[in-house]
Amino acid sequence: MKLSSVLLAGFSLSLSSLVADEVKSSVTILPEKPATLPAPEQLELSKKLHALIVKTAKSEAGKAYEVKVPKAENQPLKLLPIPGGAFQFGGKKTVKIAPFWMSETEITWAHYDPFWQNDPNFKNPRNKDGTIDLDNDRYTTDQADLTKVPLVDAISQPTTQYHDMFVQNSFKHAPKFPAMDMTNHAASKFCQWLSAQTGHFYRLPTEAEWEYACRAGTTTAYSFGDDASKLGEYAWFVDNGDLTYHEVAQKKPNPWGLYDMHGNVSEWTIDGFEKDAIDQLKDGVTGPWHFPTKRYPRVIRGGSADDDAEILQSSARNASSPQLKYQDPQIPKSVWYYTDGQFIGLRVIRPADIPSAEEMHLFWNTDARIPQFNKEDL
Amino acid sequence: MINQTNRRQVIKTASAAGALAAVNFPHIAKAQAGNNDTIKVGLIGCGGRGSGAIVQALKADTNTKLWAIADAFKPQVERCLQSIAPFEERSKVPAERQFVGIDSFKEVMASGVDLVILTTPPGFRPEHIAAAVEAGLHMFVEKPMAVDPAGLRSVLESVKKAKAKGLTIQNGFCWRFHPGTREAYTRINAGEFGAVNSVYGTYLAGPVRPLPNDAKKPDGMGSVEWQVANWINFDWLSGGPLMEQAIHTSDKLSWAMGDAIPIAAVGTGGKVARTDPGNVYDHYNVTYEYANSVFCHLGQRQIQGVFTETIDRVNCEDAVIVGPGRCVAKDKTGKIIWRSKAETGVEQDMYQVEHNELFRSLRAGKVVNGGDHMVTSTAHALLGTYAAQTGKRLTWDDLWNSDFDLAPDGLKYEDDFQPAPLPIPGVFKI
Repeated sequence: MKLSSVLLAGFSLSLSSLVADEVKSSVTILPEKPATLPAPEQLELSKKLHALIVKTAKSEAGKAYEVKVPKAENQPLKLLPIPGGAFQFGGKKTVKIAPFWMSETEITWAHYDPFWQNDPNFKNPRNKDGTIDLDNDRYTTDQADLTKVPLVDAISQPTTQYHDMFVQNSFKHAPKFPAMDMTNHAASKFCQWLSAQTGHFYRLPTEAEWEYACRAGTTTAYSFGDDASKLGEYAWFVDNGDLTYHEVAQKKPNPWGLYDMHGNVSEWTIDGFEKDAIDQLKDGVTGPWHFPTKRYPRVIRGGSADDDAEILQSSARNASSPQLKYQDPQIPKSVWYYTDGQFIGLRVIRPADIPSAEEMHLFWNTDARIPQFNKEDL
Repeated sequence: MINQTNRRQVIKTASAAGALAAVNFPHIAKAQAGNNDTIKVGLIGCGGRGSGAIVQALKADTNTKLWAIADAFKPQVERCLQSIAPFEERSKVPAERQFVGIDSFKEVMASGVDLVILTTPPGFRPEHIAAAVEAGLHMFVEKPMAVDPAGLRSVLESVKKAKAKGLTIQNGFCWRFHPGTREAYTRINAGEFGAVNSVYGTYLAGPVRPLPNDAKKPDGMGSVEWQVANWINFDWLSGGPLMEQAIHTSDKLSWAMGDAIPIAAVGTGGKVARTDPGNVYDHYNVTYEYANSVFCHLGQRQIQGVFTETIDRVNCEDAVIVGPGRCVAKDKTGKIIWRSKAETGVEQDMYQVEHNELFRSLRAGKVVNGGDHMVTSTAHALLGTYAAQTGKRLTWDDLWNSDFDLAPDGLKYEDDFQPAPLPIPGVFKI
């Protein structure tokens, strides 16, 4: 493989990232990189995944593709290329975004079920923190032998539910409906789980990447213009959604082919929420990522079938809070499930450039079942 | 609207029982409103739910203190205290008031507490309730309150004695404290949507911590101790998944019916997907029969990889009300005619509301009498459970006339008490 830049229609990908010691980041961590890496006990796993991802890399630049997900009976997940470029973040700051791929739809139960139902025969129960239980004490964390255990199994995964954590009411739990009610941590671990099976680096989008993809080159309130009366053609929201979510991709896509960026379920980003985060940015920054140092609040985007039209706008921001777990009767509350986040789902992205193992690790480990974060849920 | 009157009468009785009454008070407050003495709370059973309940008690009132703590196992006590450490002094318990073992509830009750939180596996509940009443303690009681007819009768006796002593009993039927759901059922009970024609309620979820198929008691561990450590798998401790979990759906079904007494129940159930060594079913389907040919369905399942749903559909003459949580009423054309809205500034956490109301009443020198509802709703779930397990059309009287008891009181960890075989309808009797 020739190690040079390739240029495809409106989409550039630097293959230099295929050289392990020449990694490229697509983000600028704000206000600054954490001094120490979180979850150090999981760093070896991240490094092994990084090596796998570097090994698997091949030029798929600028093309849409489908990737089979082995743990989900090989059901394919479709990703669309998002070209790099610049845009007005929040309609007010110029931000540069490196190219990436984004899932065409919100992640559905077809792919999320095997992640949270990861132990169908109840043979390998998970510890509370999602690691494989090796010592028959689910309260302790255990480190699997990565030379023996498949990497995908070594990734922290949801524990069984002790009650119906989705408390679904009128939400249909069926394959084409968007997965919902997962914590930001669970969504990040889903990305890591997907990465381990595919050899691609998947992660949650930053807030800036999300809005960039949602706008798809537009500068209007919605990706189809400013006329909210047309919203029903593109989105499920409070006026047409029957207060529940719907099968993905039933409405018109945005100019880049992404479905349901407006409405249906709102979507996770990997940014901590600060009210004036966008105002504080320097014009021209590349891939700003407000690194979350707390469990709450984090940025949620896109609005949902439960929201009014304004909340669905390309620049509308929302934030998570402990209220999302208010029907969780236990302490510590689950690090995997919300009880009242039926209107939050996720979409994955894959940066075109492969970043360092440390950066992957950061994206996958912004929360954990540790006292520092658990006390936010008291 | 034929059954409206009957139903209303029942509602009246039920709400009168749930009302607050000022009476003489033991321990705290002593019938003095405005008392702000420290309320010393004893926590009996400090797993996830017990740890949750003590947090709610500490948040409900600024002058509550965790005074004593008990669990069957020491690590549970340590984990709980670590989890609630951010409450600082109010959550610190000296070693001499940390108790461990199957009898540790007695030590908590004798430690000078004003109120106990009863959150052990439910099989112990009747004995703990009786002991708390004997000791003259107010209590928060988590559901279910009994797992068999003998336990139910014991709880009924305890509730009578508690009333005579002026003790507060707050129960853990949490949905009754959820603002939006409360409003929906208040409207249903008031007849706003017409008479209730039927209820369809489900709790179709996944298994909760089933034992692995090859699970065996470790050497050196007592037989009873091992079962307590895996309590959810054994009927004498958990009551099975209808009692332990779908009792919420059973309770809301009863609520929709204005807590009218059902005539009988017919049910099916069994253990088809699970192959673990526990003795509880993994699914139940129960039909409750009420006066005037009103039949209500309760579906329970804990099987992984199948359709899941937790929903209540209350079919009234003029509308169907769908809950719980975010409740919606739709007319016959499917149009939304009412929906619950979370009011800003109103506590939405139903577990917190339970405790807020409990401690507010204690401070006001009033008794919360959640005992009657607790007995009725536990009996409602037991009726469904035992109708399915016996295979009989089980009447309300059949249940109350039974003295069936799954396990003796006073078991010790080392006792060789073995759980009964899985109940086979037609063979199993109560």
